[in-house]
Amino acid sequence: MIGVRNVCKRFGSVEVLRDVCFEVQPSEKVVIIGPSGSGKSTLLRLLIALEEPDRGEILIEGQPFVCCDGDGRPVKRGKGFRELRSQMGMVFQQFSLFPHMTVIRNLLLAPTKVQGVDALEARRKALVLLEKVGLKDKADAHPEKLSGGQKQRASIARALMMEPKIMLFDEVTSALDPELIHEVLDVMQRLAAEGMTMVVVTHEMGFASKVADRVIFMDQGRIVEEGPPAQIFRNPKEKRTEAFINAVMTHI
Amino acid sequence: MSEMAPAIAFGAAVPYFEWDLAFRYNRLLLQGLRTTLEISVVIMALGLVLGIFVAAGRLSKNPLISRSVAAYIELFRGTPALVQLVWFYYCLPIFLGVSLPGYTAIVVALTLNVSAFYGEAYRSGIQALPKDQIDSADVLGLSYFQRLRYVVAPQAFRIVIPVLLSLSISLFKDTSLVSTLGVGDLMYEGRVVATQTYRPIEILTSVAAIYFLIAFPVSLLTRRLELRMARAYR
Repeated sequence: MIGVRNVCKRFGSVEVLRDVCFEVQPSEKVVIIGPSGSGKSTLLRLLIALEEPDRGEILIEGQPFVCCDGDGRPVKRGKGFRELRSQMGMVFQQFSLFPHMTVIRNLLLAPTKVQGVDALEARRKALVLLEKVGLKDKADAHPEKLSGGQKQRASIARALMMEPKIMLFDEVTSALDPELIHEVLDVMQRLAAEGMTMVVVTHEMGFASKVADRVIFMDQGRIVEEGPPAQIFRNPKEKRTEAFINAVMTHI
Repeated sequence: MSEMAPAIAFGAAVPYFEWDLAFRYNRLLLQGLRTTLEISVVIMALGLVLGIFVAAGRLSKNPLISRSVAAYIELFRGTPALVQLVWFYYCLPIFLGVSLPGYTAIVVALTLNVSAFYGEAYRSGIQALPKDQIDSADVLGLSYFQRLRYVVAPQAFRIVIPVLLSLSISLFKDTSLVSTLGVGDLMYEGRVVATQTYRPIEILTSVAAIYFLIAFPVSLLTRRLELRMARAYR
């Protein structure tokens, strides 16, 4: 579904990603963990072309999405770039919803303007999705009236409007009050159960061990270790993984 | 003018004002006010639109575009508006052989001037938006212009309305500069009346009062909007 080959990325003199390779199979749930600054978010942003690699290749559904030969040469976009990109949805840490529109207009914007979906039909679909994330009664509310958790659930619904095959989650619960985290994770878990292909960057280790098929541990721009959650959390092979897991698990 | 005699007789130490002069010449002054308002509204409307392009150019990724727009902004911000007016009015015909009708020259000069300021205001509004907003619109598949139209512009505009209003108040007063080029605006007519009556203090003060009566309510409105925004964007 997703193939990442030898991807390198630097911001100025900082090497954010160093020769990263990994694959995601259809319906697979991959959770990326690691200390801040390890390159997790940048990797996610590269997958959906919000950033461009300095070197390496990204394939979506086996087709070239973006690739760069390196040495400062420009990034080449694959033939079906727009089409491939539209198969991915992404939710951010916060400030995702457009504050000047009601929730339902947030959901309707892209389908009606980008895909040219009939407004009535889009509306029907939006209400179904809002019901699914438990926000049907908030359809006509402005985002400022929503709690952080509600905003994130609405953002997920908005991304689902485009019927993506792959969903990317970039620390979607990191800015939330602790008591609001579970309602967002619940929605993500349900999505996972429906068979959505997901790549999730998170600090929620409980969620990772419950939902992930595979956990990737990153540090200093490299994939240090990957494997099923049981291995990463209970029986890590690498010292750095163990140190990180111990550090985040001590208070549980 | 015979009533002036006693004032002179009492000596210069006792000022003698004729505050009703402005009322006696109200037809001329109101006519000037109409011209002032007309110029202001036309320049504001043009400037608000041109300012969008200035901001877009300033934020362009193409260094040639962004640098030339930056140069234009600094040129018009860093030189007196009066000199800019004179340039468009007198110098363009001399140097470039382009002769603009007087009114057009004034509108062009002041529009270019105020667009530089409006443009910078828009830019600050655009840059105040969280990056996630633009990224969200991007990953939803919205094109550059769709992002600008549906996501960036409505929010940025809302943020900068108080700044735009305050710039517009300045513009409204700065239009008085056109009086030096013989355009019959409020300031020009005021000076005509002042010369005719030999009463510059009363007339110029009255003219100032008229400018104030229009500028002040807008200023109050600006402050109210600012307070409302502060609440909305907590």
